[in-house]
Amino acid sequence: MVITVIWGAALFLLLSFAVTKRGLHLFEGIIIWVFLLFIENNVLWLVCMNAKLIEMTKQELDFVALDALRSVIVPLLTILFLEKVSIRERKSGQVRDWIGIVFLLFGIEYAADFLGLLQHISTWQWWWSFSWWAAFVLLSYAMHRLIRRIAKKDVRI
Amino acid sequence: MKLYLPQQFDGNESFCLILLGITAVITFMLPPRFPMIVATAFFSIGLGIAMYVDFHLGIPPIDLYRINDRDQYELFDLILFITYSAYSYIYVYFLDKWKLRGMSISLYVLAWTFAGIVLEAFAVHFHVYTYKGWSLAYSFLFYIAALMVTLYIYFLMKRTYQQTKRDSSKDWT
Repeated sequence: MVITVIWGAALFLLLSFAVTKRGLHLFEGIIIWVFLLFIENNVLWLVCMNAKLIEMTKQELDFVALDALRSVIVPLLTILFLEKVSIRERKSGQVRDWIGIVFLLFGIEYAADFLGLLQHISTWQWWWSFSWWAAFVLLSYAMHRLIRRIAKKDVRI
Repeated sequence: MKLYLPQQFDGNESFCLILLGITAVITFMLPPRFPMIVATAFFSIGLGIAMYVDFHLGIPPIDLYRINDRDQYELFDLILFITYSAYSYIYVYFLDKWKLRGMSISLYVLAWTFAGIVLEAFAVHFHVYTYKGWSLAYSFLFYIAALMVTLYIYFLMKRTYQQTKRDSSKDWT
C-alpha cells in the first residue's frame, strides 16, 4: 500500500513536471538532479551505513518506496523550489519559499519514519534533520546559481 | 559519521587509482568538443547512473554486491563513481566525433557494453566488486541499458542545444 501511494505520487509529480512549462533548461535539470542525488545519497549512506544513526527498512517493497522519495520526490520538489525562487522578485516571497521547502523536506523525512521506511535511532535529534535539509537546500541553491552562470554563456534560458 | 579509508591498501585500491588515472588522462587529452554546459551534463550522466545503481543494489536489503573492502561507504567507492563519470563522457565523445548513424550506433553500443564487461571482470578480479548474488551476465544487461539511456539523452541534448544555443556560442554539429 505504501509503495502504491508513494510511487503514485512520484509518477504524478513527474508527469506534471514533464507537461508544464519549465523555468529550468534541460542541461541545468540534468546536472542539478544528479547533484541532488549525489549529496542526498552520500549523506544517507554515511548516516545509515557508517554511523548507523538512521536505520533503513529491511523490506524490499518499502525500500523501493523509499527510493521514490529520495530519487524522485525530493529532487523534483527541490528543483521546483529553485525554479520558483529564481523568478520571485520580492524578498518576502523568497523567504517564504525557503522556509516552506525546508519544512516540506523535513516533513517528508519524518513521514517516511512514520510509514516505517526508515527509523531514526532514539538519540536522534529532530534539529539534526532540520539542519541537514536547510544545508541541502542551501547547497542546491548555490549549485543552481553556478550552473546557471555557466549555462547562460552557451544557451538561452 | 565518517568516510572510511581502506582496511588495507591492496589490489582494489590500486585498480581504482589506475582506472581513475587512465580515464583522467584520456579525458584531458581529448580536444574539447562540447560546450562547457554540455560536457558537464555528460559527466553528470555517468556519475548519476552509476551512483543510482550502486546505492540501490549494493546496500541492504537488496545487497547484491559489495564495493571495495567494507559494506560501509568508503573513500574508494567515491573515487569509483568519478571514473564512471569519465566513462560516459568518453563514450559520447567518440559517438559524436565519428558521427555514427544507423547500424553502426548499435555496434558502437555493443562494443562499449563489452568494454564495460571486460573492465568489470578486471574489477571483480581485483576485489573492487565482490558479488553476493550478482553476475557479469546481469552487468551485460545493465551496461546495454545504461548506454542506451545515455544515447537517448545525447540525442535529446543535441537537439535541445540546436534549439536554444546563443548565436555567439560554440557550434555543436
